[in-house]
Amino acid sequence: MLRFLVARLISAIPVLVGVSIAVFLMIHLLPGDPATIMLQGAPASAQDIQNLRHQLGLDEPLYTQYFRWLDRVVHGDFGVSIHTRRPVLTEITTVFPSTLQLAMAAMVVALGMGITLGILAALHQNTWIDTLSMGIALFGVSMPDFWVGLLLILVFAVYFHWFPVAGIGGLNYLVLPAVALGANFSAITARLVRSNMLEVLRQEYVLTARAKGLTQWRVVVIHTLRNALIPVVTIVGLQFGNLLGGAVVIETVFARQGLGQLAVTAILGKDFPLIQGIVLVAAIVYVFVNIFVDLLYTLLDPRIRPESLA
Amino acid sequence: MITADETGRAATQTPLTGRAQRTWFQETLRRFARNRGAVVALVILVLIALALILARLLAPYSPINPDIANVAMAPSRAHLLGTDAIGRDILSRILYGGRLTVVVGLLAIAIAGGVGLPIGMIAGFYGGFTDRVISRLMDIMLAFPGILLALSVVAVLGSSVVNATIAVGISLIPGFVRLVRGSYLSTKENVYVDAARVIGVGDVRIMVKHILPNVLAPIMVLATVATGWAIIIGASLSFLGLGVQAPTPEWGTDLAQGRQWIETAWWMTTFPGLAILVVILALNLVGDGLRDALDPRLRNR
Repeated sequence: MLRFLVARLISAIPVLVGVSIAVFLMIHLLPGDPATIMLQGAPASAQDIQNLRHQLGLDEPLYTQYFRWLDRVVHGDFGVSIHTRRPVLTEITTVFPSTLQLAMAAMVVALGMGITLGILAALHQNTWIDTLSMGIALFGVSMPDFWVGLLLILVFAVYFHWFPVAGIGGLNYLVLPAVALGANFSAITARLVRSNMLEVLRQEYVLTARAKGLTQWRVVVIHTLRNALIPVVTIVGLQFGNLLGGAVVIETVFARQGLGQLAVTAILGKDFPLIQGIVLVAAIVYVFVNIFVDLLYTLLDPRIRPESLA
Repeated sequence: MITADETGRAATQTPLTGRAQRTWFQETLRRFARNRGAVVALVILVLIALALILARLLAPYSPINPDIANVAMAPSRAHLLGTDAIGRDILSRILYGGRLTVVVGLLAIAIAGGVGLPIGMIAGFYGGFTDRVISRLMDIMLAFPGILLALSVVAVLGSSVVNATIAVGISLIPGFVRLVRGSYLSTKENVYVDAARVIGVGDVRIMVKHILPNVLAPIMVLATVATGWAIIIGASLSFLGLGVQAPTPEWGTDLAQGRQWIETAWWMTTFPGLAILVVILALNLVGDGLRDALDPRLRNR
């Protein structure tokens, strides 16, 4: 297991290096000179610009700039935000917990709803329950998440007054955004669980369990579900990335402070050090979550030898 | 997976009943036509396309000109879907706005497919070092989670309709590359590829003329479903203010404007979103229908 972890970590290095190069190059791919962009149209003489270029190291070869930048980033120095003048890392760590909380809550909602719908559909294959569950799932994958959020606000906040319209606070404030963010993933989960369950239910050991006279509940929970859920684990890592990305839109819908809202503000304000920091942090988190999920996968399914994944 | 030539063979092997034998294409069409949901969805898509093309004729009002006398009116006979914050007819804005939303989606898919297809072909066909380099590059792109890849591209290019389209297209490239690569990797081992090579057919011709028709099915399904994703990502960018800019009508932009009035005017956020839902739902149903028709063994999966 340790060998697998090490191998998996090593395989992530080229990806992380690539991501860092891409993020570093962002500011150099922009039309125009990075120094001028940093000045954001503030009045500056040619000498000022020259000074800033020197200060930012822009007068040095690109690869020197990259290694300098990388050295700083590795030491936690992502530069300062152009607008707030606060360190980028501080800006990010201030809002990151709220985004993580949202993504986790959405994950719980998605898996809870998705697994329930999937089991119901599979156990009642070709009945109205199956049709209804899969109909809900079809709507789930077809609705843009920000519109789900808007509808939830309309129904549960504006009409019923059960939840606040927007903002951040206790659990009350988390429910609607989490459902909106998790809706899509829950639909995907429901479809996956249904097809896996149908497959597993056909296995001979399930027949044996039934023949022993076990209750439906025991057959489903003890004998079927565990194996039907293994493939779900594989998409959890991938979907976590979508949740992290989806938070960008959902946080805007619910006016929630978070990494996503920070990203949108940064892009609209052309705050490049901040954009670079957010993208880099999100990518790193995503890569490591996927390593963790792979690890979990090998623990759940002993048939998969860790070496084959690495 | 049943490849095109196998299904084709299966079709020709069906006993002759005096009727002309059906080609693979006719067989697929017949299977698709049997799927009622998919056919209805296809009809809906055609109708929507017509409505958007004929927006000038169908829209009862101007989508741009404000009408101060009719600000934020609930749906009524004069304004079937109500009016927005400055009195513009929402139905008219949806008809005109859909043009941009849909065109952005289609162009983005053209970019994603146009770039992803050849890259995936090359990676899968040649394998080895080329494949490793391409696959690593795709891994790097995929490390930007969800919409963040599109956001990063917009951050670099600046926010505009064209740039948002390019951003959406780029963000969908890895999906196409992976699918096409996988298909080519498994298909290139077929005997007919060796046969073509033996008689001196060039690589490009083998990739395009010999292999592509046999792996087209999953690519077409992906293109259909991914058009839906492209529309959603494009509308999301506009919703965030990073794509289409007001006052130009667009479903995402209109939803963002409606968001400000959500506590008083439900129709402003309901109808543009409903329009997106109908289009995506129809695309997904057509995609499911296509998948079942092209590859019957996958049915009910």
